[in-house]
Amino acid sequence: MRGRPVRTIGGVGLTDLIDAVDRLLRELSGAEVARWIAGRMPPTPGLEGYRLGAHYAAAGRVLDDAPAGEGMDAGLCAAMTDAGVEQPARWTLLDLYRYRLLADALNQVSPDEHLGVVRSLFCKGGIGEQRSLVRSLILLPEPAAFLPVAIEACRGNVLDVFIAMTCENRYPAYFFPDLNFNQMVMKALFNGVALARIAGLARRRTRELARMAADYATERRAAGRSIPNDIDMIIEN
Amino acid sequence: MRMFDHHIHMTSRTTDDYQAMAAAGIVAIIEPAFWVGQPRRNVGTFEDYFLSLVGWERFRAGQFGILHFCTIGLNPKETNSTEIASGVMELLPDFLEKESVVGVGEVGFDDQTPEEKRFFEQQMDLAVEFNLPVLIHTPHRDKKAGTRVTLDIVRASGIEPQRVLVDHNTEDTIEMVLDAGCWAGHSIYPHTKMDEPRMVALLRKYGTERITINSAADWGISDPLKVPKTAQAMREAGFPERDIETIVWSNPVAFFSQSGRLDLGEHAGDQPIDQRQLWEGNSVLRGQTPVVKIAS
Ligand SMILES: [Zn+2]
Repeated sequence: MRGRPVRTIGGVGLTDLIDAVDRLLRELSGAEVARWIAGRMPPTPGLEGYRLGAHYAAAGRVLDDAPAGEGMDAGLCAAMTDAGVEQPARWTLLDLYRYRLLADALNQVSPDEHLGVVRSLFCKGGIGEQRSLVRSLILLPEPAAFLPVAIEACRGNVLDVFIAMTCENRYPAYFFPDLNFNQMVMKALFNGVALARIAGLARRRTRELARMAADYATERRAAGRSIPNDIDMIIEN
Repeated sequence: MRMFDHHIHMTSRTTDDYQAMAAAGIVAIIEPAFWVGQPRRNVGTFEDYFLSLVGWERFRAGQFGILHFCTIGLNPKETNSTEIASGVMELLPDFLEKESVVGVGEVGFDDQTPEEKRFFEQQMDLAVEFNLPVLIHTPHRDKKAGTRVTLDIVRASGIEPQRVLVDHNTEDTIEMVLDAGCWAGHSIYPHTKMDEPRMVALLRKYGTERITINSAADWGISDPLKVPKTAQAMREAGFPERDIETIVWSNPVAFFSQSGRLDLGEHAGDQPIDQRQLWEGNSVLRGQTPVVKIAS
């Protein structure tokens, strides 16, 4: 980051990561989209009068929202994986652009304003915006600062956003306190989200989580309902 | 037959309605921002309402295999609280950028006050600026005169008339709306507005070009199945299937496609509902009966 300590992600600096995203965006989206992107980047410095939320939203009509898949750059994928992103090839060009836009915007303001900027984007976002945002939290400078937004994302009932937060990166595994992590896992069970998809679950198994799961199994049994067969992943035998 | 209800306020409806609509063939809907039955006292209430239209309600519809789009605007009734109305106007530009917003609306007249006129005109300007089609509500009282003034405002705004859908028409207004080059919407409603037999008569007289129907179902006594019921009334009256499809699908699709944002995806064809597919393929879920209601 310009003039500030550089965060390293998977052996590459954050600025290098953003440059790699930039290159990929240029390669994969045509000249017209590149022009559109160029016309909407934040001014330097500060965000006074810049409609970050509007640009973040509008990208949804311009950039491709299908998983980038094979098109992803191998080095970028490796760096993202190293930072805790699960299956970076599932990111879309739209996700990449929104990440790049947000990282640049955060770079224009002081670190104590970062949470406010991210929180506002989350609160005022539609489903697609929220999904892109929670996918990218783990790649932002000092990701721990965004914990309240990540927890909020698990509190909502829009499953697409919940899954993006829970299954697509290790943010919860790295940063959630036990209470929030356990509630997230239980909510996944309630909603039929396969536990195998929860990123980094293995290293967050605790006695308390096992107890909660066992109680849930008892409750299901009493009601004559089936018990999810992957519940064994968190119940101690 | 796949159907599109382009004016329905699902925020005020139940999951039973969603289920019945999906079973009757409705695969896409548009929820125009409107008046929620009681005046709002805070600008923030509008913001949360608009957010639910691009968020929660969109997800709720998706659980039943129904694609949910919306139009965003300040309804005529609440323009009369001018302080709140001005605050809402400041919210609109950011919401008009959202991907599931396919138009400005519903805007227009209620009591036909000077305030209503002012905010109606301002929102027509927004539609031009954001290159979006407009859904216009016509007043229930003094309808004919109100529709005439509405069309004057449309003309003065400089918008192309084919990008304007004037809604809630009756026998008294349809002709002037079509003559103005706009689309004419009809809300098929249990006791007021328009009913199925009258609608069939209108279609006999005016044909199917630039004519649409919707349920306008909301928190009042209304029926979210009025689009399929009207389709059936057309069938019984001897209309060919292709005319019915024009009215319940092709016409609303053509009108709102002018937004450039009406992404019908796989629902452009006749697809069976598979709720599991909505969540990035079956790999996410265990393959049990897909949840309809989320426990939290
Ligand atoms: Zn309405």
